[in-house]
Amino acid sequence: MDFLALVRLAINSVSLLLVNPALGGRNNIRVTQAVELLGVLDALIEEGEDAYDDLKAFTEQVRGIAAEGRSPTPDEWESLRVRKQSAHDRLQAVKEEILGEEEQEDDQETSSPEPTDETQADEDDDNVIPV
Amino acid sequence: MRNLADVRHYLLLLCAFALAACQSANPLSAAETVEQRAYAGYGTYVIFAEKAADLAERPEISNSVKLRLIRAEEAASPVADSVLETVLEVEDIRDEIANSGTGQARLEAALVNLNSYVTRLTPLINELVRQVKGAE
Repeated sequence: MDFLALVRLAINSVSLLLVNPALGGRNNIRVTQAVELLGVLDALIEEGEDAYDDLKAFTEQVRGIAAEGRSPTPDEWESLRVRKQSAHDRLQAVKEEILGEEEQEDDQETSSPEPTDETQADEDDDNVIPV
Repeated sequence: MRNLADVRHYLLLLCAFALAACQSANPLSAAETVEQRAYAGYGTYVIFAEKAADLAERPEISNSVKLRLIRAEEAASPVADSVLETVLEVEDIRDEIANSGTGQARLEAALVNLNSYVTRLTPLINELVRQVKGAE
């Protein structure tokens, strides 16, 4: 097991201990925040580990191209272009989702009925002397 | 959850800087020619754009951080497109030179443009990671 995998195992173990009453854990806001932080840390390490592996592999690929004294082939460029478009589309989809949520929240705020001055009108009617 | 957000951001930045400093994971340092450098820069951008997308799809990441990631990628995307377009232009000119023997001046101009786009792309890649750190 490599170092980062060991770190992630430790993080998940601590999370489990924090929330499990049978193991001495508690259920309060601070514990919830701590568990959330550990979850994010785990996610970041996982993403960071993946990014490091991807960069390392890509560096080896570039080094190989340089060692062969050639330029990248059209297929190599096309492979990157497809991945680039996919990442861009995924981010745009998240953006649409977030903006949609914000628009819904704005609509809910503006659709709340404003209080009308009906009580004052009723009082005015009471003051009218019938002829 | 401002403290949690700050910790997340600094951790991601730490990972990114560690990656950039490590020669075994630095594609740009492995490149020797302008076209290899363009490929290395474009590929590095793609890797971080994919990581940004992975993070943006995680529910534990706040909307503000997601939007910063998205905006950073949106800033880099057109420059990355220009890198690829210029690479294709360079390839066309090389074919033309191989077939007709003319076009050397155009090739040199295209390679200068390509180098310029790669130079512009590099800080935008760094910005992609910095925005995560700067989000409050």
